[in-house]
Amino acid sequence: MRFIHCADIHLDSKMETNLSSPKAKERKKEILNTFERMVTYATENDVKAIIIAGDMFDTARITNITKTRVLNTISKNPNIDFLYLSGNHDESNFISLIEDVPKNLKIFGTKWTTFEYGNIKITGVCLNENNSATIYDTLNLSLNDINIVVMHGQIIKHNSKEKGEIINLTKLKNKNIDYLALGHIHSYIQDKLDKRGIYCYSGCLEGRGFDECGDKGFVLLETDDDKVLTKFIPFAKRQLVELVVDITGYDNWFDIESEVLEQSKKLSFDNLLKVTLKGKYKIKLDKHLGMLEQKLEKFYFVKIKDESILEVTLKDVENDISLRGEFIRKVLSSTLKDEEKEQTILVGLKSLFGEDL
Amino acid sequence: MKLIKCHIENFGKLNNFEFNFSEGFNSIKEENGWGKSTFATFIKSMFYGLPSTTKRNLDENERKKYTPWQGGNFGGNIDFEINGKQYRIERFFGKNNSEDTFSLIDIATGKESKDYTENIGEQVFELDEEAFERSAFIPQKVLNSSINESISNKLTNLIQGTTDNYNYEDAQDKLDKKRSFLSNNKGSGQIQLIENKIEDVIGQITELNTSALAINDIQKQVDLYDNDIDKLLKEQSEIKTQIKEYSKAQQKIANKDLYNKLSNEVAETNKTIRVKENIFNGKNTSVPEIDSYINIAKDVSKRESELKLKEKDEYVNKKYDSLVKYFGDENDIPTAEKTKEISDKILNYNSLKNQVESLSVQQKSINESNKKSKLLGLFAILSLLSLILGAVLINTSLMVSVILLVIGGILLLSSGFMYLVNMINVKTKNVNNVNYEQLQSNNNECLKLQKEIEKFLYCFEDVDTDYNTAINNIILNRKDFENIKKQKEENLKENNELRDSLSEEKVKVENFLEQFNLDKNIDLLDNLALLKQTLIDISNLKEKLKKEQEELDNFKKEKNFDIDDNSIVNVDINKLQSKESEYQKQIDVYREYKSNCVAKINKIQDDISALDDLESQKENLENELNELNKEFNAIKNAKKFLEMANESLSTKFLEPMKNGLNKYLSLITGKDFENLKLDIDFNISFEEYGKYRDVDYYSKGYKNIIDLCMRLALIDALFDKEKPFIVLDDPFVNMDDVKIENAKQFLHELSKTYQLIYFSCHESRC
Repeated sequence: MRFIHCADIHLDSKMETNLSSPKAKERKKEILNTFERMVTYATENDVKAIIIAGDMFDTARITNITKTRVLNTISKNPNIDFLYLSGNHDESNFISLIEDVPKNLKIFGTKWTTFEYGNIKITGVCLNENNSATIYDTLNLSLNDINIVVMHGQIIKHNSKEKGEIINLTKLKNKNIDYLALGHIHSYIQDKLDKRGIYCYSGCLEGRGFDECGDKGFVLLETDDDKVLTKFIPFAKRQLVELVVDITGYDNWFDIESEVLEQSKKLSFDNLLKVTLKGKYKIKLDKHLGMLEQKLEKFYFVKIKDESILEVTLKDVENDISLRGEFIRKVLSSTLKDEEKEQTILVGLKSLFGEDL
Repeated sequence: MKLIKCHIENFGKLNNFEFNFSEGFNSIKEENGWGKSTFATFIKSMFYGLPSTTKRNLDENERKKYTPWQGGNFGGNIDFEINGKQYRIERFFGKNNSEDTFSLIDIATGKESKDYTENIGEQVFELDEEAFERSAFIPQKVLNSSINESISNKLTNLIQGTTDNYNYEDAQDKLDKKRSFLSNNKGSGQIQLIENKIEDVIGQITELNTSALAINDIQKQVDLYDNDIDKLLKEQSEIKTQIKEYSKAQQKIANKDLYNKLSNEVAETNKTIRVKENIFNGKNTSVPEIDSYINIAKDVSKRESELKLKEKDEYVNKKYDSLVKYFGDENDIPTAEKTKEISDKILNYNSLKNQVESLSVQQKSINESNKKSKLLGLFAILSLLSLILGAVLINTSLMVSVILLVIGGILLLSSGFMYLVNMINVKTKNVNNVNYEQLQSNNNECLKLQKEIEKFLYCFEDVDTDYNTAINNIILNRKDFENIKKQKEENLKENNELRDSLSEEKVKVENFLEQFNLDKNIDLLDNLALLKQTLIDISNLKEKLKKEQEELDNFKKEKNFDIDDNSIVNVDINKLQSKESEYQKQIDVYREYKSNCVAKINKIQDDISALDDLESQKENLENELNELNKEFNAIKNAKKFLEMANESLSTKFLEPMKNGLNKYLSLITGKDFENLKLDIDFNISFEEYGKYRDVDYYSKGYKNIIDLCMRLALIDALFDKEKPFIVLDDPFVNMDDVKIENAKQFLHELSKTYQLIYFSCHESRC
């Protein structure tokens, strides 16, 4: 029997990539489309149930159209059960606003709730501040069943930018769990839980910010007689990719552009690309960030982040008797912050050389 | 510091070139295009190397510009002395810095020296390449170009390290403009515009957030409705249970009714079968057996029909009857002799009758001739009267007289013609008057025969029929009667034989039917059909009975009810249904309330979905503002620090420059320049007659001198520790001969302090 474990779909969520308004709207639609594509995949691959381990939506701002499309998708696939667990971002109380809950949409409560598929038992609980400390004592799973447990929260081992309920893995050990389906962390992580089982964060379906780079998708579970086989299925329409380029030692901008373009060659233009420039550069290096962005315009979205630092010391200009040397010396000797010093020197030099500010 | 010698392996157009430097003045006179600038750049590059750049302009890319034309190793070496120690710098250049090689040899030991690094230029002169190039390298173009421009500006640039087209003031102006573009008093600066936009977006966000807060209140209301609905559903469920119980009981009754109905049907069918079986009187038979008897009976019936048909041979009987009727009675049929006799009499009668009719015609004609003679007499009289009257009237009336005469003539002629014809006829008739008696005799005989014939014929035929036809009819009918009578007798015989054979088959069938309870008055075939149909009916009924029995058994099994259970649920179903309906109404009302709330939430959620966009806008605007503020601060700071640097530089160089300028001008001109004034912007003026005159008042040659002196003063000011060599690239091209001589003398004087490498292309300036 097959199941899909997904989480953190964050439908209608805000894009974190500084996308333009039209593109942000387009990405929102793409996330919804990816969810629908996943359901089609489930239909085509005889998946019995889709486990949504929390954060299907984001905040209270679910648009009516998203809600309608999700409900239509669920009700038009009556052969697939949708096992829905609320996450820390599911503030909207999605279920309470549905007047006719589809029969195949099944909800995990704040106490352990189990859905049975023969000897496969899928048990889950929505964690909150009232139950998160004591819930482990009430979890009783049969030794002879295949047990899949669903939760949404943060295991202590992994850090997440979002605050969520803490999941105590130690208390879940030796509970006859075969597969612990988790949600909250937006990257695919799988590791051993105990002698019998594994725990797994499926990650999100689509990345929304450059802190969610890499392959995104869901986990396909296939149960054998007494075990669960898992396979991560990359499924995102687009990937978010960050290229970090150290420009230390480069004397001219052309070489830096060539390096960035070379590194970006292997990437699909469908991706969202962030180029971060790091390292130190000499004052002689004339940067053309706009030009670089233009050369990468074939990508769906490009963001250039310049974190490189101007490398200039008093010693470097000690023999420069010119106004430029004196100016740099004055700035470097000032009490300005390093970033301010760098900007001041760059602006001052541009003005001295008659360049556009 | 002094240069000793150099070897250029390959540099620009120069290759395998050696030059030994003198201690003071080194004059190199070569034609234009020899490579003086190349040589000068080679010397500089030995100390400072060649910058690596991707610039395409050759003037801005020395590495590219001086790549050897003829190929080979790009570079060479130069020997120099500093602090009493001699060194050799050896540099070779590649396509970029990383391919360059540098070595410093201590000439005394011949070993590599670590006293200086490849950055030896800066280490020796404590000036970077640009400052060195702008001071110790005095190119021709600088002095040339200064003719039309402010010397002070050029010198300021020299110190400021800016380009020819920009200087401190330009930089400040640019910064001011940018600062104003970012923020200004009119409030139209980019920062102010972004701030306004942010304020606007924040306003919209606040408004939507206020709307969003309402969701919580409405959600609470939704939860309350959900509780109410749950409560009502629970209570409704209890009522529904009671209704269900009642329905079950009702169903039980219905089941019993249905069971009874099915049982009755089984009994009824059984009864019908028994009734139908009664016909068979306990005897067994089968459809094929009945069918065999039916076939026999049908055959008998068919043959009987044929028999009856023969018995009822309509033609024979009808014909027989009609002939009997024709003749009156079978005994009255005339014999053949009698009919022969009558036939002969008819022949005789016809002959006599013809003779009588002929004689009668002759007699009639004679009578008519007599009548015509009387008519002729009348005509003759009338014609005579007309002729007489015509003659009389001839004198009176000619016209009438003529007409009368014509008529009288015509009548007279006609009477004469008619008389002649009548006379001929009378002669012929007179002959026949002789047979008149014969006519009377024949006529009597004829009447006698007619009586006899008619007496016979009128017994069988109509009076109107002629005698020949009548006697022929009688003869023919007599013959027909004899034939029909014969045929009738034959039919009777055949029928009797057939009837005998049929009665045997019929008895067989009758004997079969005898076994059953059947009405004997009914036709055999009908009875057999009844028997067969009854047998089929019984079979069908038995099949029906089987199904009915199965249905009854299944019903009992399926419903699984106790047939004897007569318990009754005593509830008022109408009351219960009304109560349930009431609950449903209440639930529907709450659901509608909830639905309205959900619609409100949906509406707000749709509205506040714009929040994401607005927050992104706000974030982007804030980022933009942050960057602009940083830029604004950077501009403010740059402006401030440029001002400070400019002031500092001016202060540092102003006094030494003024002294140096005075010294060198005095050296060249032999005059004292106590009246010279140099302001903070290096603007030079001279006091003459109590007034300061700008340098532009002086001649071109003079300005060249001032320019050179300013540069030398700068070199003095800059190189306060190690005195450099000075490269002069034909600086006196604009001087007249007198001044050139002075300048040459000045250079020789200057070579006591500095090692000079002086390039010129003309003997006069050497």
